Amino acid sequence: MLRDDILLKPASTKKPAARPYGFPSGGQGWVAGLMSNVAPDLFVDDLETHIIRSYDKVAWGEHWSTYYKSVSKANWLLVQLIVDDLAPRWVEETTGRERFPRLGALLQLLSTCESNAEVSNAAAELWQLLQEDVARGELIFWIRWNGRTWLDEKRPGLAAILEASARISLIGIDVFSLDVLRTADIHPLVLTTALKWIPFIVKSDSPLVHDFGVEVLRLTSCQEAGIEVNAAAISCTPYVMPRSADEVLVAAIVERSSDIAYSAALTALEWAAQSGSFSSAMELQNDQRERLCVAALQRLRYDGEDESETKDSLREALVWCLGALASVSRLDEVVSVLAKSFRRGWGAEDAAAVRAGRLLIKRLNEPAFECMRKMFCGTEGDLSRYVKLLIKGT
Amino acid sequence: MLHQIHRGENCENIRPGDVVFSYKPAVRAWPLHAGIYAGREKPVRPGRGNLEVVGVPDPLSERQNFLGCSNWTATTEYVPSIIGRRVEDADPIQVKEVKIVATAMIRMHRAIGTSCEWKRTRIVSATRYVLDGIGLFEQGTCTHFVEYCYENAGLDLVDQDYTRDPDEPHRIYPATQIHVFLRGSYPLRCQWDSRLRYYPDCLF
Repeated sequence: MLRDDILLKPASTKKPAARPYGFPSGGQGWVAGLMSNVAPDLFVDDLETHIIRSYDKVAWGEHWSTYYKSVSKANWLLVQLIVDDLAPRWVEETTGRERFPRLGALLQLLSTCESNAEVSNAAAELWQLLQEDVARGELIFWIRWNGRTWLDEKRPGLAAILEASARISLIGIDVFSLDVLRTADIHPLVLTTALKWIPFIVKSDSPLVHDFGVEVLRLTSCQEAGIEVNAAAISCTPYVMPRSADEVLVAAIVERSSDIAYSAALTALEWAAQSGSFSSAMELQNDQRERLCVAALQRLRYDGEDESETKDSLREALVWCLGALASVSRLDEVVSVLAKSFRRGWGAEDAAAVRAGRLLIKRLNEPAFECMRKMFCGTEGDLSRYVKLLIKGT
Repeated sequence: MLHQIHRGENCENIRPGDVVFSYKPAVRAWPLHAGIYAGREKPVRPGRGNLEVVGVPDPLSERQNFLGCSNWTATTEYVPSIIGRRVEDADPIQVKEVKIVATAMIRMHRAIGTSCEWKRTRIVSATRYVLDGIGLFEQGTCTHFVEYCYENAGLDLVDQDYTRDPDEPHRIYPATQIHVFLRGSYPLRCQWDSRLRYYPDCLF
């Protein structure tokens, strides 16, 4: 069997050598041997016959699509080894559109994209094109051979390729995305696009999840990357480091600037309400929920009394997320904060208190309602208005 | 309730969540644009002051064709011309929910690295839920975004199952939303009338 460290090796940081990892080149024997070792029931004969014939560049796309369909994701890195071996000779013999007949023109366009709008339009066009299996095969090949170069050249067009590839879960896109996160000094649009798709491309049982966690954690506080990237990385933490993401979020809520704390509070809300793309392995545990709740209350104590308009959004997000975070033991404290926000109504914090109240009722039901009655005690008008609003939104 | 600021009317108290329309008849292709007011309560006088508005697109912000928040004044590309306030049937706090959904949507897009672009067709994600469980608004027009925020606050403006342009069934015209605020009966459910496409024709 091939060693795990070879199979799990992420995309290299430079173009691989013609015969990576010391496998013998050419001939039918090594390919068949390699494949039968790992996937004996997979297309061995076909592979022998056609992948070697892939030097025939015209036929490449069609053949590749056959392999692409039959290769499982687990074997993808093995296929990359084969690609790495065959590609240099093939690439040398072909150029531009001839090499990527389906994608050539679009890749040409992408290479000169500058604005976000251009990139966004190109991503939509590419996504359409990738409905064809042949085009997918070409793109797998292209990413393996040109992705790194575009990354180094800081081309924003690479964001469109990442976007479209992630949308269709292109084989190998997780490995390439990790490569993007690991690269210093790249175009910010490419970096945020890679972060954006993490919840979709990194599964909790992926062997890469730990590596993603390391990179995401680094980006949460990387000053050179900027606040937008910090915030995007913070919002990914529950997906790639579910056991310790609460620590990152707590630190962001308590210590970071209003902007970052606002994003962290909304991420905590999403995680606690399980409204994102969370699998069961990423569920928020009770102790984590408790820590996040304490952090939100703590930040509200600092900034909750600051009436300035600049703190409105932060206050609203903190109040809102309390509804998803409070446990029964914290109900009194949380509901008294909600009641205060509801009565005070700075900015839209009263509306946030209503949305939080709906979450509380949904999660904790009777105890939450009892607590609300107690906290609104003596102000029947407020209680009935609050309850009316709770009902209206459900 | 409708306040036509560009015709000299005052709005005594704009609230977060109210709809602000920009009207520039000289811009023939898109004379109207709509957004959600995201500032605090205050009076609005013709030709004075500025309003913080969330909308798509937001040409005054850094990313031009995308969802964003910026100040509209008498001299900016979008001007506060008409204000629509839902006062007849909704608690003011419920209207504020519109504002927190709108501003949080900008932040969610930034936080997850997505961009919400102006497009003719509306896409609300059926797989990506955000905040307390609402579908992510991925793309659409200015009025799609306004409608989406109001729907998520439980305050539907136009019932598109009943009221829609047969020629462009997925489109919501800003003029139709202006008509809703003028009539003060929500959500709008009536037979399609071609006057609902244009302002000031929609003032009936």
